[in-house]
Amino acid sequence: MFPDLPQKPPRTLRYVEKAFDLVKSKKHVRDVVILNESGHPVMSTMDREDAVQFSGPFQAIRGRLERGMSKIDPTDELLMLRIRTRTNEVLLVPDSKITLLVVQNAHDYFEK
Amino acid sequence: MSAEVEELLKRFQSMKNVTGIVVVDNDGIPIKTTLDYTLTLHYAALMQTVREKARQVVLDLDATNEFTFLRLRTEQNEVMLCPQEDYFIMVIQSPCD
Repeated sequence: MFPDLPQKPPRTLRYVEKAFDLVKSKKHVRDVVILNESGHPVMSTMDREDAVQFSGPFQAIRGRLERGMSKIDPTDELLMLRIRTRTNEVLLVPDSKITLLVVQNAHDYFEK
Repeated sequence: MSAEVEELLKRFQSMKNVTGIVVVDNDGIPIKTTLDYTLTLHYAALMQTVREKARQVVLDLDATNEFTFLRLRTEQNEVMLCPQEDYFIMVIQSPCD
């Protein structure tokens, strides 16, 4: 439909499984969700329903940021998004045809 | 704006990779900026909506939690957003890998 779009390299199932296991084994990682190109969770440490509810809002934030960044600089591309809350940190990493969502414990504590 | 905040902005500005600092109030109006006007407006409008959405998302997921910081890494820039009560501060730097 859009012939000029850049071709994204394929992500095999083995790649996805390897990425999932690798991220899950990190020390402070609490949850991992891997989404496919359509935004559906394909692998997750959460329940399926929880993964769907969790990933939707962050994909929405990502979409908003990508549209805004394309207005500021059309050549720029989103690499990583970190949203820090008081108790944890959510990382969103687009990787070709998949998207990784990682929830990890916050390493330090901010006193207000 | 108090003298402490001014001092803080000067310190941020003097750091090596920092290319811009923008302070935006809750309505999306830039209060203080080191970038040029057009770019400031773009960033302020974008980050104001993203800030509100992120705050809402965090509250929806866990009512006891609180959105404290956002870091957006793109190929050429890195934008850091720190929300405060009446305003938020945005620091834009070139990423050093």
